[in-house]
Amino acid sequence: MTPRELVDLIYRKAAEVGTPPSPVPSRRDTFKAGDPDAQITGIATTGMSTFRVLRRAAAEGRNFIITHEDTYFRDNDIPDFLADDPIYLAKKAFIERNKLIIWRDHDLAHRMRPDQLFAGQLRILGWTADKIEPAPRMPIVTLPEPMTLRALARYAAQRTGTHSHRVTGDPDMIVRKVAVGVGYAFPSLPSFPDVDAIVGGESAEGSAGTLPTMDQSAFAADMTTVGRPRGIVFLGHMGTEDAPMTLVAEWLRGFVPNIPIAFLPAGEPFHRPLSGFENTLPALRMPAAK
Amino acid sequence: MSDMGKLSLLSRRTLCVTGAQALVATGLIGPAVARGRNGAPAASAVVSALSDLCSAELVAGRADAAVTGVALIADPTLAALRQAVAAGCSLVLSPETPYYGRPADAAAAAGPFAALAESAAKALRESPALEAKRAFVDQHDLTIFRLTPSNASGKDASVEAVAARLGWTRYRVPGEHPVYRPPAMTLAALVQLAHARLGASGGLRFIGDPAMRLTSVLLVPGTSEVVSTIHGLAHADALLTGDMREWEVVEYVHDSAEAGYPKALVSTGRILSEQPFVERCALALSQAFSNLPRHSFLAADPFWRVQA
Repeated sequence: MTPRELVDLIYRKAAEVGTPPSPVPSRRDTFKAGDPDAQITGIATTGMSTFRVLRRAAAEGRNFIITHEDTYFRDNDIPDFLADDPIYLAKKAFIERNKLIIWRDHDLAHRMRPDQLFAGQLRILGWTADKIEPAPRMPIVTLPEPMTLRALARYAAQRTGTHSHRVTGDPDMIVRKVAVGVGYAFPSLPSFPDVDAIVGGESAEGSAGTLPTMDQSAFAADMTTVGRPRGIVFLGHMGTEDAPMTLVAEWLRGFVPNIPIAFLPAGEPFHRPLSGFENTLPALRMPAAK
Repeated sequence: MSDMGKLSLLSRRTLCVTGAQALVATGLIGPAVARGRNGAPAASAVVSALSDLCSAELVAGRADAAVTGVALIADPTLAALRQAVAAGCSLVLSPETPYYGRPADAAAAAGPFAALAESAAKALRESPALEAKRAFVDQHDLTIFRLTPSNASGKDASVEAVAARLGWTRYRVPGEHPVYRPPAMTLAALVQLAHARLGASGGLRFIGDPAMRLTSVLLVPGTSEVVSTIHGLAHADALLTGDMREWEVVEYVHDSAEAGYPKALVSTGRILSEQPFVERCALALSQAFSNLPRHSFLAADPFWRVQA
């Protein structure tokens, strides 16, 4: 089977389970490198086709990489701004030398019902989405037991294995209901008035974005000030869209029986915090409202 | 502990220091600054004094309002606005809008995400936080300008302010990119410097080997734009920035070691990276208006972290 044949098969199988091809072809989900008509020797799914993932795939004889995020440092993967950049050239040369083929599975994975990334993240977190009609794109979860934001952060970090996550909000606030985000698909706190906290990936900081992109951290702080405390756990992009690509590997195994398929983790790009920065609870609470 | 430790803590996110005390504490000026309310300038006249440093956009209030006091705030939360009013300020200057984002323009309102954008905008308008904030601003007749650092004078005030805070002003490398060559240090030392001088703690993240030796650093306060940042990194060992997208600059720096050209990245969070610019504006106002009460609200790290 060739990568082109497999991608055609993926679209057919997606249609069979209720996700027909988009009327507008995805700009993201295209072949990024390699010969789509070569024979597949092995398949790797991953959250991001980092250089490290590509090295491991090549070492394991997997020449077809299915990545959720980009390869060349920008959403559109057009490397025209990289020119003679040595890091880009080294990565490109490695791909060519090892005859790797890369296809991005971003928009399709998110169009699947359930969305494969959200489904994967819910499984990792050990949560079940609340039954809501119509189902929101980003799941809402009523926790089995209320917990503090501090405990929620610890739980999410433990389940996802992250170490570079960040949290905003009162550590002692009680969380009953959570909105789940993955990657840059980040729930908007104002849109879910009864949600206490978000457990998501990454979100724009500050207020430079155009609404509805907004400074969620500042909003959570102000809600806390007016007596409606809100919190956010930022697990990072790969803390939310890497391991869920295991679901794509599992799905492929259901209709690609004769080719080895593995999930290869991209992992967190950030180094473990230095000593003294692992636990940094805020020293003081928000002031009482005047 | 950074010099912020000398200042009075008003909230988890905000520290407040007043007039001369603020500027002395942050090392910006020496002698005390005189106060006075006679001949109060208009808000537009106050922001005009910052024209070499930034552009100013009216977010709330009136440009011709008489100014009783100026609050300079990196992180304009409701708690910070309350403290500004309590300190007698009628003018708030900040690199961020207190209303969480820029209003959608007509093009966005008519685009494919129009329904989603309208729904989110409606939810925000009806939120307790925005309602309370707008009511507070109206009730106290606050005038608020958003400041955007510019390089009208050929120099980026935001970059220069961060460099000054790090003690690196004399290490600037000539050229289009804001690259500095301080005495060589390890990546771990740069992380510690970002903590000590910029106040980053729970929001502090980095990429690279802590023992990596650095001789040049690209400074990008605020949010790193992928193209210009990667072009700048061609001339530096490391990037010190506020915020960045994790599928862009982060992937590039993460790949660099595997590619054989290791780079490093240190991220403080956007707000903290803007704080030195806010202090630079406070200094400019102290020079332009010796009798105008000023209050600097220093942002604390909005993030914290707890390990599993």
